[in-house]
Amino acid sequence: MARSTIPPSETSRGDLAPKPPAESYGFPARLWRAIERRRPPGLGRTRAWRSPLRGPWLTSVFGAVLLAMLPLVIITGLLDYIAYGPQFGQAFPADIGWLHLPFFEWPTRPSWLFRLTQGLHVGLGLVLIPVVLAKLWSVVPKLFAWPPSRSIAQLLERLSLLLLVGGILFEIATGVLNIQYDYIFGFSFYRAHYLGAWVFLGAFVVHVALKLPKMVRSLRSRSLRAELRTGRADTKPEPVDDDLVAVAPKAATISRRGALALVGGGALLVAVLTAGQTVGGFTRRWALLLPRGRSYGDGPNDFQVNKTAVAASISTRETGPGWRLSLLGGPRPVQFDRAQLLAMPQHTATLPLACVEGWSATQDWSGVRLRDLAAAAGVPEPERAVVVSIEVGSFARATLQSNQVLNPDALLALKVNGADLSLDHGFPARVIVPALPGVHCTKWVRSIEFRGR
Amino acid sequence: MRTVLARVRGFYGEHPLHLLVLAACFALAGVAATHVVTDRLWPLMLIWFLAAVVAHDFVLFPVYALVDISATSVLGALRRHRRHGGPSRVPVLNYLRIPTLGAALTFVLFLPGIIQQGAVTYHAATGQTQAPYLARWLLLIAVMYAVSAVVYAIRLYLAGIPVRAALAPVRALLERGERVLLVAGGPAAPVGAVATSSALYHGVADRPGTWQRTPWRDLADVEFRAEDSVLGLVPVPGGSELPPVSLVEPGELVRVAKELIAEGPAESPGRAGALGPRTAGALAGLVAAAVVGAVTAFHAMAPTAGSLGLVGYGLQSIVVGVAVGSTVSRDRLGPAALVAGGVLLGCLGWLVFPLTLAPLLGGHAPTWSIAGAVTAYPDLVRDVLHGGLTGVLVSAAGAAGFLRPARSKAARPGGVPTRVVIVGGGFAGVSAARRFEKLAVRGAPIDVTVVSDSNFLLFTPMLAEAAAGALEARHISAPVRAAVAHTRFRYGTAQRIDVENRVVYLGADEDSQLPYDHLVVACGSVPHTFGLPGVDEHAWPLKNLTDAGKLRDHVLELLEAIEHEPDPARRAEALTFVVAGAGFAGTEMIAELFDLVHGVTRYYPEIRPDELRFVLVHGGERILPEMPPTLARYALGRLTARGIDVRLGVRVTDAAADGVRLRDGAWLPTKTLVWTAGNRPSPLAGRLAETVGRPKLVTEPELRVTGVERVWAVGDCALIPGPDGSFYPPTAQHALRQGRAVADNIAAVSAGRAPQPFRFRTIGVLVALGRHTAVADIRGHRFAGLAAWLLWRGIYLSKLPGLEKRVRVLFDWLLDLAFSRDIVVTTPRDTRNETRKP
Repeated sequence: MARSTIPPSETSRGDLAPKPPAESYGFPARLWRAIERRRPPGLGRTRAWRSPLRGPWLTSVFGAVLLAMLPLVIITGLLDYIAYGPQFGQAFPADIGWLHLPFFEWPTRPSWLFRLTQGLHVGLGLVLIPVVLAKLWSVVPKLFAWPPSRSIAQLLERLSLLLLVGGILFEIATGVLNIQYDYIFGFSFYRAHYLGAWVFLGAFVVHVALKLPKMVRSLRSRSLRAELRTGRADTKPEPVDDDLVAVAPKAATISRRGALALVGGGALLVAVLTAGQTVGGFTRRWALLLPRGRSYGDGPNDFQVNKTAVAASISTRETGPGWRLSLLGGPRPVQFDRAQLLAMPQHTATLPLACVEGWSATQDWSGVRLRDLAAAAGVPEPERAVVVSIEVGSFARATLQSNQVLNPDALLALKVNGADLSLDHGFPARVIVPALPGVHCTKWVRSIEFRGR
Repeated sequence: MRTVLARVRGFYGEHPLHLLVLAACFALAGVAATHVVTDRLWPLMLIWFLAAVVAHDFVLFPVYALVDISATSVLGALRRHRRHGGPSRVPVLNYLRIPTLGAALTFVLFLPGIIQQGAVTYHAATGQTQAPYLARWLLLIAVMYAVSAVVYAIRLYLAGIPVRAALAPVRALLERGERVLLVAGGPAAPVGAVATSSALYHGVADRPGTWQRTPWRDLADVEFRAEDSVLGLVPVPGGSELPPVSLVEPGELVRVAKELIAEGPAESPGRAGALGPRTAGALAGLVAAAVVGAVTAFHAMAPTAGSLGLVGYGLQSIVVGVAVGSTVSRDRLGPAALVAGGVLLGCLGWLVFPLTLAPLLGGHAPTWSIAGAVTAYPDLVRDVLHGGLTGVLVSAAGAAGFLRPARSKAARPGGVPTRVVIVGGGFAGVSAARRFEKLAVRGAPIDVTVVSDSNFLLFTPMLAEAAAGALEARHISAPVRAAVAHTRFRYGTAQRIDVENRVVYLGADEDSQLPYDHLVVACGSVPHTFGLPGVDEHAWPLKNLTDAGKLRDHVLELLEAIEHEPDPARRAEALTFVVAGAGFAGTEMIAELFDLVHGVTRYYPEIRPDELRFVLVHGGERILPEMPPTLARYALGRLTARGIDVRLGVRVTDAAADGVRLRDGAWLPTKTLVWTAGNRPSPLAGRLAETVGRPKLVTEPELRVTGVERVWAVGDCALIPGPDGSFYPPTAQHALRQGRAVADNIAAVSAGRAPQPFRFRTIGVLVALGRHTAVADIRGHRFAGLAAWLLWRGIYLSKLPGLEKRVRVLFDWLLDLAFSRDIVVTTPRDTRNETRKP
């Protein structure tokens, strides 16, 4: 008796071309029809697609997760650009026209602001990779759909999908390589990653605008709670009237909840393997496979280094007893040696050193307040300060905003964790400013020029 | 306004806003592009952008999809073929898939570190090297696989709990000395029943309210559908209320239930043989440890770690002993296997204890280095000796009767093996017997007897060649006794089958009764002449070796007798050869006859080639109906080109000693009519079918004869439905597979598992057309001519039973290429016609 009621979807399954005849064609209709008639083997809605899980609901679940999370990744990424001080021309790439958030003065409070934005950007970006891959898996039959288009509108939409998929994969590839210091691609990471993001952003917004109604509809088509209660044996394909659904599905080898748990578990695995880079503490060692999960030892200077003294070609001759700090911008230049600096009022602050590669390390820094140095130079209310390093190269100078100079925790650090800075960490003196990108916390400082209003 | 919108929609395909947002998207991408092209490396960026898409969509996705499909199908195939021990309750697929995906994901994400890519920039940025990442990644995936394995083991264990829980009350019943019978229906009608010594309790399995008690004496009133599966078990608490039935996998339940019943309640603890194998193993391990320890201490090779080492050694010996004991409890093992297994487990123990656990307990990481192994070498000697000795002791304990008898999965109550009788020694019967021998090696308790009226297996595809004298008749047959050397063989004819009492009668006396638990009917087919007048008396059949030899002698005899005959009419009837039926056998026969006669005419100078006439009569529209039409057309062309007269659409209506009449009235004068136009199941199969009121022996897809219990039928005598409802054709390739399938199914049923439906897709068909030509259709690939002929020879040569026969046939063929056909007539002249039977 139970056999007599075959669900309607069962009866229509097996029809290779379930497209209703009312499918309309845009201009030039003859061309689209001609293309449709010449279907190459293997393309179209063939029986090769066998997974019973593929369907609009599952795709929409992944889509909803990405819709909720990806904007965070995008916004934190764009904020980080501001953190570099683009008004001083020191954010890369420099020539971006109007492709940026409105500029504003990057705050120094809370001190973990850059740690948060950068940690979220890299960490969440990595965590979403399994979701992106699952989403692409769930819609991959569309790539091989036939005809490729029935109107100019569909053709354009498919082109925008190239920007969307290419954009996200390009951002993932360049980002993942960058945080592991692998510059195999050869071009400028900053330019490629930043402008690739804008290409993706446009395609993403359009995709959301066009697909949001379908996503909402599909999410409502099944109950998430019911799916979470459905085991593998009871997992049936979604109704066949959507072209994501297989026409000849096999029996499920994993339930929908299993697939969701698999993707979620993948994201969790990546999260556990990533979070330690930013969170630090005992979680740092969990970042087993990332550069900033490593230990340097137990000493006061044994924390993450960004660019070693050797790599920056710093020699002890320049940093030895002959080293002097020049303070410029005042009525006349002032010079201090390290002993004189140590003799000035010392201040200690616990600040994170946060880097654009998505890691941070919080330490106790001690040294002279930058605002004391500004006063000593004769510019007590500087509008900006240009810090120059002994090092030669692209990050050998950094310009600080006035709030970054005047913050009571902004230091020219001489010691870290109670000990003299090591050469790798910027001996004899380095800048440390709350919420300032690590690469602008200049090491091996040679001079600071305070510019008044 | 609305019409404008509709027009835009019709032209563009969507609402104009669609165009607007897409234009905005492309414009934004364009603006970004203007800032990209200022970089001289912009083409490289574009390449990476596109390569990211290509690498994912056309490399990564196909690769992982392919890997997943392969893994799924391989695991599925393994699962289906695990016929012994029942299917696993928890599929292993996802426990491989998930850690593999984890490994792949971490590999792709952290590739630079793992393969040490970008080492220079990495070192500049961090002051460290990427050296540890490969080892860390390997460790991570090892942990993922290990966790997955542990979770799988837990799931497997938990999946077993419902079965054990459901059986616990049954066990209690058994312990009280009550008998339990387990019967139930299929999933559609989950009837359940439990029998105790006084009554039968029955009802809808999962609805306790429907259960009722019927005393045995009233049982005739109960309509009950029994099948070979049990869906659930219920305990019977004194005939009062029945708790709900837990539904579990039927095959598993039957297996465990049978084990329980086979164990029986009478097996009370405290008897001499009540020592559990694992306990015995642990004891044996300890004893062996004491002995080996004493010997090695005498040789100053005792463990150096003092008292801790002694305790560790004791624990190790217990673990190894329990492991050796466990192998006994799982299977009946001989002393040699036990000792070898003990030595192996000793080696494993050496790896686990002295080389791994001992350093760990000491607070060091195990090194597994050569130096460490050399230091622990005395331990290796000790562990190997100890393992071997444990095996010896366990097998000795078993031999001395100290052990509880090993449980055998398929054992019937009392340990009596299942008796199987196979009637018929053709392809189906012999392949079933061979399969049974294989199953017996794997431990299935089965006792097989083959009954056949010929003591050899005839390779029928070469019968036509033998009839034409190209092959020596004996070379295409193999003795059944040699093919199934470990199976009982009875030479004789099954006269009668008593399906009620399950006995096969070979004759009248007591000796010739064969009782069976399962009967396999594989008695083949006999020629069917449809009662046409004269055909039975005058047509030559082609079913067995005798037919082939006699036909050849008859043809040569005719040539001898007619050479100097002056009467043209008599010459015509002697030199006309007619074959009725253009199936495989008929087509090959006419071609072979043609080759034979034309090959030997040079010995008979008075016979002119133009006097010879070969006629192939076929009732159908085309010859070789089993072949694709193009090949059949080709074959027809080849035959007619040689001058063979092919008459289609006509049948033989009657035959006489000097000719054949066709349906269209034509009279063919001939002395040689070979009948291949019809076969029917052998009379025994017909009689068996009549007992269930059917004209033919129809089976279920599982090869069981419909309506008869414990009788199975395979080969040409049976009508076996395929998945689409049509019957499988009566060919050797099907008979071989059916024989194997029936053996597996009988073994499954006697072990309490469900039989599998027979599924087989024809591999191909081959027909030799003589003169070094043939046609072949192999899985849809068509061959014709010399290639197909070589294929025919190659394939059938490889299918011949036994190397010796293959060599002999090969030599026959080689000699046939060099020399002309033999014209020796072997049958004595006067016995020729009497022994000829229809």
